[in-house]
Amino acid sequence: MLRTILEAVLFLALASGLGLLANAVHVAGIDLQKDYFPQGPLEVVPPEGDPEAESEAIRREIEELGFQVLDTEELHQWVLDLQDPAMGLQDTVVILDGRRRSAWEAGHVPGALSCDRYQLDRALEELEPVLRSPELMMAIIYCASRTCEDALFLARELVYERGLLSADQVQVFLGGWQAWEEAHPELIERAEG
Amino acid sequence: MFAPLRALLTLLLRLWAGLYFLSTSLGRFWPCDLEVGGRGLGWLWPCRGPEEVDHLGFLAEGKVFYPAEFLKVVREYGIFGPGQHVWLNATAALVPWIELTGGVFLVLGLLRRGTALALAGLTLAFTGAVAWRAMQVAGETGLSFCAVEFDCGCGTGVEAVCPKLLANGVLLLACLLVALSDSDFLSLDGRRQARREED
Repeated sequence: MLRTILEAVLFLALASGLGLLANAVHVAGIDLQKDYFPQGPLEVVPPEGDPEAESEAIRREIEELGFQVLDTEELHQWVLDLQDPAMGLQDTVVILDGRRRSAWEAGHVPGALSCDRYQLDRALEELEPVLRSPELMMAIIYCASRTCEDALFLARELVYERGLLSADQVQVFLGGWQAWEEAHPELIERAEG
Repeated sequence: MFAPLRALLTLLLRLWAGLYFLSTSLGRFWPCDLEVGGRGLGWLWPCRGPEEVDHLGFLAEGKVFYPAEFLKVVREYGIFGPGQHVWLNATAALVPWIELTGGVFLVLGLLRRGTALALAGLTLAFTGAVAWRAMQVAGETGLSFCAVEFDCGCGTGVEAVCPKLLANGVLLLACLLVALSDSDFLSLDGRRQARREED
């Protein structure tokens, strides 16, 4: 039995070492030291299995942090305005997709830029000049669905931890990709290649 | 038990458990259309057809390859409180690799007993966590225990809790039997032992 336990310890050490190594070198690896889910001002615990209540809890937290909440039709209007060169909004509004990059590549809101919040340092290499631009008036942020919290956490990090945006610049599209895909399947952009 | 039968049973359980752990960690890279003699074997392991791959999102990509989504699932269990984020992150980063490495080791028969024991411990811990979370969901929603469905991070997306607990129970039993068996039939451990005895 002792030998079995020693083998188990050896196996766990080998597998954990491999996991740590893979996490360190893999582009999608996570930062082991980072708190990806900091407690919000309301310390909301979304109720399990109740999407309505969960979505409402996230909405309250977004508003408490000083961000605006955007619905699907408001985002639709912004997308149409952004696509119209006569409106001249290209440098003043940015749409950030907080989902993983492969999900963004598969389909995103037209004009949205990939900003995977779990690979934020990497994403900001490209995005930081855009976000620091003095012309930027508004950043619209979304994630996978109305119950995902990634848009909230991404907005919070960009504003309160990194200081790249001010709270009044941020609008969170609460419905997320799921709502957009359902409402406007004709307005889906895919990454080239 | 009759020794050859015991050896065969250990081998089958070891291969099944090993392939099960590989399938949960590899997601869509796990071949679902395995066949032996024209008979499909997809039902033996968590398996995703093309439609499910679209639906499952990150799980279809494999939690080994995208730990961030597994991190979100582990967080949902509420095992780790505020200030314990390093443990949460480490669990999300390491567990898929423990499953993957364990799957390979079991299939090859390398450190067979210890690997099976460690994987039994992991399965026991996650089964307990799944049952605990299902009880919480049942309590909050008023659903009966077996009517609860959620994504347990087990590689199969949202699924009913009772079949999941049953499958985990079978997997746990298989791992324990492999750990306790004295048969090294068709394994690297057996070959190593044989070489040692020859020397």
